[in-house]
Amino acid sequence: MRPMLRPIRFMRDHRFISSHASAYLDGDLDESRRRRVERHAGVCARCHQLLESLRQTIAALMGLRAQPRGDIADGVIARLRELMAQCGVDAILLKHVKSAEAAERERFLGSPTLRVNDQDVDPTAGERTEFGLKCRLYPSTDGLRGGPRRVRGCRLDPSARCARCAGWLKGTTPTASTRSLAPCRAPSPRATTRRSHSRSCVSSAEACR
Amino acid sequence: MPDQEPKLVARAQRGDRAAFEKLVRLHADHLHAVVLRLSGDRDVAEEVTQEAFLRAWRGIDGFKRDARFFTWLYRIGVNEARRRLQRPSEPRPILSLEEHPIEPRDPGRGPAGAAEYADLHSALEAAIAALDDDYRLPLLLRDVDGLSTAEAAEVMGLGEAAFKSRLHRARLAVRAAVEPYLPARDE
Repeated sequence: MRPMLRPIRFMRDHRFISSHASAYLDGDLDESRRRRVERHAGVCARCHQLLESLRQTIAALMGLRAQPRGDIADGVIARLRELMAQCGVDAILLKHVKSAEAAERERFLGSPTLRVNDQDVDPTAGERTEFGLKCRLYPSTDGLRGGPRRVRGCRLDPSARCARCAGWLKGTTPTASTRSLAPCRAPSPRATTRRSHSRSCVSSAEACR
Repeated sequence: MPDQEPKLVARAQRGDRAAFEKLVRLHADHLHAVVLRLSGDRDVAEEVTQEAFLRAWRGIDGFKRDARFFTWLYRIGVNEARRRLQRPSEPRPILSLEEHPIEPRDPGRGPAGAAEYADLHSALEAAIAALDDDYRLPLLLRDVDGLSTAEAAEVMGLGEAAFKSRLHRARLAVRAAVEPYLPARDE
């Protein structure tokens, strides 16, 4: 390099390090850029100091990582169980029905199908025989909808604290492609909800009493 | 992250609450630590962590398994924390080292060394608290919590280039604040 250009190159390298110091320390620079940083830092005390102090800062930040408290998960799990109990939910079981044969065997009327204590939420469902992998609609005062407004035997109501149940009962039902119908979940089986959609993604969930 | 996570997520999506509880145990502490530094308040951090897991439970059917569960979870937690911080009635306290002590990782330098270490950590805490959220979060996720650049960028919903730019600016700001407390190297 010609002597007159050296100060210009030096200042460019100076700015380059200012903007790429983190990338250098994180190992994100390619070989030529890494060499450029090291060559300049070898002769520029200011940039050497920047890299060194930034490296120490990052190391100190890593030292702030909190030791696991261990009791956070207990609190979350206790809260989850409490909300499930408030909703009166004993269990939810999701079941995937993947073939027409399975739909026939499960007496699956389409997605979503919801069963509470093994009883379909639609009182007329027992008389129907058109089983298969298809979408299912439910009558409501606003016309046909993608899910039931009310579930027989379910003690949940829209003001329930479980937003998932509340949302469901308020009629914010899923479309055929969503998988958000199951109201909430809990351990021992007592009620069943079933659903599927047209691309044979079918599931059932035990829901609420 | 543990190899068992995808299986646990799949089970949780099928309604297995025990599997979800295992996911809670895997991630609750880390999420709480990030949220605590964002909110600066232990009670708020616990509430936000609980709410994040409840939202995750309600929405786990919609989680796409080609993403990473914990980045999805962190995103829920971070969004929830930000929502809380935007409420004007809840002023955000600044963590003090006295109330939230952090054990030095290198206590072998004697009392003088430990005192220097405490000074550095006080300065770090203050510098982090002074950052705007847009810059504090990259620092917390990448440097403090140890996520990879890709993971942390995913949590923030940013491209990696934008994330790295914010991270670099945050690091420079913190470095400027703590430089007087950094140990001398060239002795």
